[in-house]
This record gives sequence, structure tokens and C-alpha cells, in this order.
Amino acid sequence: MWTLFLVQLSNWRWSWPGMVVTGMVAPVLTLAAMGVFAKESGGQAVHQVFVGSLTLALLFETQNKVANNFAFMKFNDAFDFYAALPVRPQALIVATAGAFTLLALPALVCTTLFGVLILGLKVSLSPLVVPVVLAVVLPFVGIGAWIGSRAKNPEEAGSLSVLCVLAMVSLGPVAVPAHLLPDFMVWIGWVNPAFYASSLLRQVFFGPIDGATAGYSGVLLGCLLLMWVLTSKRIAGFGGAAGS
Amino acid sequence: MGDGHVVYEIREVTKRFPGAERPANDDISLTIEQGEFFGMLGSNGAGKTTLIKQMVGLLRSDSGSIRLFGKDVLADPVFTSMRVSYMPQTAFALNSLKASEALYVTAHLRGLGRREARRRRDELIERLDIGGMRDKVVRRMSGGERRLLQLAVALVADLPVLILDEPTNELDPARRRMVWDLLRELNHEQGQTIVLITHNALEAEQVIERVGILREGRLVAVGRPAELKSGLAKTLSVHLTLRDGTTAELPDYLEVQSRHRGKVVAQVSRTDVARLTSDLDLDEFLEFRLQSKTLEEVYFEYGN
Repeated sequence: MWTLFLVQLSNWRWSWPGMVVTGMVAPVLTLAAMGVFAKESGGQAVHQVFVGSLTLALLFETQNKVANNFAFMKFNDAFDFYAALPVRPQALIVATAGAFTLLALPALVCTTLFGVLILGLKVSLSPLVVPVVLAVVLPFVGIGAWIGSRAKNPEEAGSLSVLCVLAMVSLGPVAVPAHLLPDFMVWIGWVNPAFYASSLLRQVFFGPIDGATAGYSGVLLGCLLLMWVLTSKRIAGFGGAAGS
Repeated sequence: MGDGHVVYEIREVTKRFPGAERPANDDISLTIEQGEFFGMLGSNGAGKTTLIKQMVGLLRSDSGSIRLFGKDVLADPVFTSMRVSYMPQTAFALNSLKASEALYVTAHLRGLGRREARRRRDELIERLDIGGMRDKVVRRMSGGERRLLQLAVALVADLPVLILDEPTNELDPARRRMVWDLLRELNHEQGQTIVLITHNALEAEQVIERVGILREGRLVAVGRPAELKSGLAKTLSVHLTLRDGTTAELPDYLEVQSRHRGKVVAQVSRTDVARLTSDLDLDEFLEFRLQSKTLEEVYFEYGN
């Protein structure tokens, strides 16, 4: 597991330029641009723009990167390579999740620091920040693994994943507070994991931690389990011994 | 030659991919013995890679069975992966690693301890003469470099069975020779059973003991190269190169296959060889070469 984790961590060698653009520059620009308007709509809107930008950074750095990584592995026969070794597919998924979570941290820290500076925020960070970030990130990794393992080719995985990131940030109260959205958008948000992710991030950065925190975490855990089952089935036997 | 102990027992294996017009493998039966050097030949799409993927347990057959040392290859994937080392045909998995890291990591994933993994890494780097690319990231390597590294990765754990899919593709002649020498050494001196796919029948002929030829998913011939050649050996190939400006009269029992810029390739019946050498004035030719069938010609005969 540790060796696989290190192998997946080595993806920083190619992924860091992308991390700077999609994990740092894009979220910071988003929060800078939207923050201008959000300040006129009150503190809640500013908080929402901030956590929405964090969600965007995490989606790009986990879901999008994992989708690309899995699609690349699938079409370079990496799954066959690992399947020919005494390695379990689940170990590869866990190692991937761990590595890409770690690789997402610079983007998270950078967006947080710039967000606080640009928007002039006062944060009261909860000690629950670590488990909450994990609860947010792991379902994103799962969705990325599922997209990457299903895509017909890496190009399709990249396009689908970016579309998915943009849809998840746009649909529902993720970067825009619920009271500024039409009702149907708010309703759509209830089936969007990014809504629960941004809500949890808002709670750990600005409070309050309450019953909703557990509820939102539960929904994300359910999403994670669903993605685990779907992706494990998809790559069971890696190269397809189980399925084809 | 094998020592009589069966490594692979393949029985009536059929594999069809969804939407395909014909099966990729059609009712293939084959036995490979311990210590054998077995080659698989066939044109592109003949089903060679599909067959070895089933032998490694990466694909499930639609029907039939594949047993490795008496055990179904899919029944216990760990059993298979601890005995068979597989070098795939396509791009490399560990693209973000340096060559030395890829070797070390694979050794480690195969269960070698740190010290042993480092020792095997250094040994293979030296044996395959790839020290120059030790610190090169895989995705920046040329096709040939990547191929050598793939081979090194497949050899890192010293398992009893090696399955190699086109191991000499993209290699320059010197490195191809080095790889064939290494494989011969592993087979002869360490007794490793080697199964390989290659399109280079002429080079493979120097090392393989038995060959299987696939055509459109079916195993159309299997046997020792000499046996297969003897089945086609009613004629010999004649290669002639005429001196500039000369036009030699060729006997009519010579079946000319091609004639171009003074070079003639023809077939002659074994029974006519004696009179051919007396009928021709050999001084008229820059080159006169008689050759029995090569494995490549056997491959053309059966595989196309």
C-alpha cells in the first residue's frame, strides 16, 4: 500500500503545472471576481464565495486529476501491469485517494490564504478541519476514479471530468448562497455532493458545527461508498478478468 | 527442451470480444513444459496477445480452461502473479517514475525486501546496460529505452515463468542481440520457462525450441521449428545475384519468385539441387546461395 501510495504521489512530477493553474490560479481568480459582487450581498455571500472557491480547487485537484490518472492507467494498460503483480485493486484505489489528497493540500492552503487576504475574512478554524477535509475530498476522488475507469479514452475522461467539476460548482448553493438562487437550483443542490462539501467547509471555517455537520458528512460518506462499489467493480481484476 | 513437467495446460480456450466478427481465440489447446522456450507467431490481430493475457489471468476465457502448474489461473490470482512475470506489449505503467525507481518499486511490489530489491535493481541495470537512463523519468524515454526498462521490470523478481509480448520491438540490433542472449541465458542456465510473442521470426529462430503459429484466432501449427520446416521442405530457396550486364539463362525447373536489378529469388525442388549446381555456371553470379526454409517462411506459410 505504501509503495503504491509513493508511486501515485510521483504524479506530482507532471501534475504540478496543472495544480498551479486549476488548483490555485482559477479558484483565486474566481473568489476575487465573485468576491467583489458578494461583498454587496453581505457576509454570508462572501463566506459562500470563499468555500465555493475552495470546493472548486479541491474538485480540480482531486476529482479531475484522479479521473485523468485512472483514464491514463486504463489506456496504458497500467491496470494490467498491476493485475499481473500481487496487488489488490482496492489497494490501488486507497493509495490513489491518499496520494491525490496530499497533492491537493497546496491548492487548498493557497486558496485559503488568498481568500482570507482578498476577501478580508475572519476565520475561526474548527479542530474538525482535518476529518471534514477528508470527508470532502474522498468522495471527489471516488467520482474521479469512477469517471476515469468508465471513460472510453483519456480525452473523454478529461472533458467529462471538467464538465462535471463546472456543473458541480454551478448547480446549487456551492459558490452562491441559497437565498440568491432560484428555488430549482437550490433543490438541485440536494443531489450535488459539492453542495454538501461547501456546506461542511463553511461550517469548519466559520461555524457553527451542529447536527447538520454530521448529516452532511453522512451524505458524503454514502457518496464515497457508492463510488467505491462502482469503481471497485469496474477495475476488479484490473484488466477485466472479472468482467470480460 | 522442457523437462516433462507441465507449466501451462491450455484446453479448448475460446475468447470472443463483444461485437467482433470472429473469436479472438478459437478452441486453442496447448501444453507448455517447464524449462521450455516457446514462441508465438502470427500476424497482427491473430489473437496472440489475447491468449497470453488469458494465460496471465488478465482476461477470462469464454470457454475452456488454462491451468498453471495444475491450478486454474483465475482461481487464485496471487498464485499466478507469484509465478508468472509478464511484460505487456503496450506503453509502460510507471510513467511518472525514474527507471531505477520503477525497478525498485516493482521488486518491492513483488515482495522483495528493500535490500534485495536494491540488489536486483542494480544487477539488472548493469546486465541490460541501462545505467545511462537510471535517473531518467519513464515518460521522457525513447521507445527502445522504455522497452528495455519494461523487460528489466519483468525480470526483476526472478519468477519461474516469463511471458513477454514482443520484447525486442523498437530495439536497435545490438540491444536486440543482447536481449536474445539474456533470454537464452535465463532459459538455459536458470531454467526459466519463457513464452514470447515476436514478429522477428528470423532472430527468434536462434533461441526458441517450440513455436505456435496463430491465424485468425486459431492455433494452426505447433511444434519445433525444425519439424515445422521439414513439413515444408520439399523445396529450397535459391538466391542469385548476377554480375553487372550479364543475363544468365536459368533452368526451367527453377521456379522464379522475383527478379529485380540482377537479384533473383527462386525455389528449387530438393531433387533438382544436384543438377542445378552443375547446370549453372557459378562464375556468372556474384552471389549464389541455397537456403532451407527459415522460421519466417514457415510463419508466412502457416500464418497467412
